[in-house]
Amino acid sequence: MKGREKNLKKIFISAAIGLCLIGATVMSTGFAAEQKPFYFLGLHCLSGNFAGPGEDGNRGCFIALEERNYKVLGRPIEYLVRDTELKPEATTRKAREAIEKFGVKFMMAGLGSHIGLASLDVARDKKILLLNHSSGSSEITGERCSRFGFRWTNDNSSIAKSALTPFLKERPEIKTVYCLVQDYAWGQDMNKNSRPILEKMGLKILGTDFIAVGTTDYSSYLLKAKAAKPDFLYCMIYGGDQIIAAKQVYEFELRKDVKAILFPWSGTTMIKEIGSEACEGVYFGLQWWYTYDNDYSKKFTKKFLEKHKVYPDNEAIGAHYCLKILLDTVERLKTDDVKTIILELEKEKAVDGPTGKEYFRSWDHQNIKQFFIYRGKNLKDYKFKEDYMELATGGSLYRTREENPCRFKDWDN
Amino acid sequence: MAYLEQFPTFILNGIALGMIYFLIAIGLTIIFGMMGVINFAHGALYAIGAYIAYTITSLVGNFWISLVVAPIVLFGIGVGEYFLLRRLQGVDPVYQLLLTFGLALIIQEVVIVIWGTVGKPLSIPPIFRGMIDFGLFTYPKYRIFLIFFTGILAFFIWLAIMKTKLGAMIRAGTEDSEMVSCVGINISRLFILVFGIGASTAGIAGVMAAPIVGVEPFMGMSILIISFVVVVVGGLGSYAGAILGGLLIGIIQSIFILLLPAAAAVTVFAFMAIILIVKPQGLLGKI
Repeated sequence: MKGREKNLKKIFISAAIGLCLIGATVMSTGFAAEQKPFYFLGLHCLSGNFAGPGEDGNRGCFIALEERNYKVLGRPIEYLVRDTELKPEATTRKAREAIEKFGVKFMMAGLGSHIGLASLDVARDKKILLLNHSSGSSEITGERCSRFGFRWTNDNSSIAKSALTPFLKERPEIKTVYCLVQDYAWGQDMNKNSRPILEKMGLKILGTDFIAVGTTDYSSYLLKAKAAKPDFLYCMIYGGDQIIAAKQVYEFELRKDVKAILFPWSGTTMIKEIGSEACEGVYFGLQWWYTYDNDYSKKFTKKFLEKHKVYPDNEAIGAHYCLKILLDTVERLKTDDVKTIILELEKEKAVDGPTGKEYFRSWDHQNIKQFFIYRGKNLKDYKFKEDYMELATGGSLYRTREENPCRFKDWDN
Repeated sequence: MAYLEQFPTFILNGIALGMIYFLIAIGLTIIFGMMGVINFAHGALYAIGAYIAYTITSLVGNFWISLVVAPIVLFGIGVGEYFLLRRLQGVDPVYQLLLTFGLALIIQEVVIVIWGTVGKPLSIPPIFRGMIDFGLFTYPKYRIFLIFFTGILAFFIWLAIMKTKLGAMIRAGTEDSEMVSCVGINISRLFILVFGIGASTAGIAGVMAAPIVGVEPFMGMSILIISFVVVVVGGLGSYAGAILGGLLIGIIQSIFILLLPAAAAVTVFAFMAIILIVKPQGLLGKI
């Protein structure tokens, strides 16, 4: 009897230890799964000439994360920030490192068409979802489109259609144009997309000058443009070069010689640097402006201003919108499976966005939104210190399926 | 052919450009001529001049004060840079290059820390806004002022170098600093003065250029390249070479934008390459 009791005791203790071990293993696995972070990679330009708007994009992401207390699906969100340095090779290297080290499934990039294309190649290769909040090249949702890439901003072809078409229709007195083109990917693409519009609207192109990126003096180009006596000066110049060009347009008093001057893509940071005097009377194409009158814009602008004491750039609101849409979708579907999220985003459900109702088109993943032309106000018309711009016109015109060479090959691209 | 009517305007524009380049290059060439130092931090000093102009104009609403303050501040910074370089005297010149390059990066980052990554707006002073009508063409008032101002400054620098005892010492130091030291002249003090003056002229260039090109943290690097082209074309260490080089580069740049815009960006470098092949010491440089 004693021996039998001893055996029973041994069996009981062994079973108890075994159950404890199993229980501990199950609990720890469950605990780990529950706490595994949701990684999100933000590729922003945080150094060099575009650091200002790049930092704005980063700040937009932080606001979106704060709104959710850095949580989705009950998991903490780990936001990985990497500086693109405005170099495709740095972007690609840093993106791949983060993806391989942390198992990132979702990332954001923008600011620079070459950055947009480089990050899209990584997304395609690694089969992860990319949200591009600010690159303009038509190829991103065109020839080099990918089922894994989505883009918020209007692309160059849309800017040309949405901006130039209504702008010129409202100004029938414009018959001739002189073009200044920044000689890199964005400028060349913008020129390629604009020329058919200019010709279709019956304008005579008096001249086109391709100007190297980093040019510090536009005086000779402006003198040449002035000599041609165009009705319209169309400056396809972006970034720091736009600031210099706009200041020198003011210096050489071209506003008196031509009927209209347009920089088809600008931003808050650039306009502030150009200054109120040089902006006055000049037209700027904008993805969004902080005085735009809708709920989303007003709420976001208020939050950004309270936190950072400056008005936000379109980079900020674009990044905010993209990340918000992603996290809302993940939460709603209760999954972080990339393909499931993509299929959901392809359903073209319009939601309230920075420029009104917006949605991603299913067949090229281009976001459908408004694009605006704003005009620099006269200083005496300012209602507050940074009231630089007034809305002139806008539109939402995009390439049709027939015009766009984008064709998704299921999940292969 | 209509463009050819604009030729005088383009020549004038080239001269205005050239005067800015001269103002930036003169400091570089004086420092090299006297001390054999190629100062990669020169562009950063130019940027500091521009930021001083922005800061003073924002604070007191007067642009002209910065033309007094900037050279004084930059003189001090130049002297500081000299004392750092002095520690590398006698060693391989590569170390001096590395030091000045490192300084350029440090100055750029300090500018970013103080003023931020976003550039600052600075308007042309009200008295020089607008255009002057020359009958055949119009041209911005500010650039005309810039040509005259730089011309007068160039004259006074020439006067100081050619007609004063101090200038004679500087010229002698350029030829043979050891001999100058042997005749009892405190060569170290001369170097301090030369470095300070060189830095001051960079600061003045920054102040003058700021209303035209804007004020942003990376402006120093972008102007450094053209400064070296001017100095190489004119001749390293040659004052007259800096004037000639600046004017030639400015005019060539301006004219080629009119005549052959596709080649405009590379023209100045092609010109520099031709000079280096034909006369490696520069147009007015000495072997």
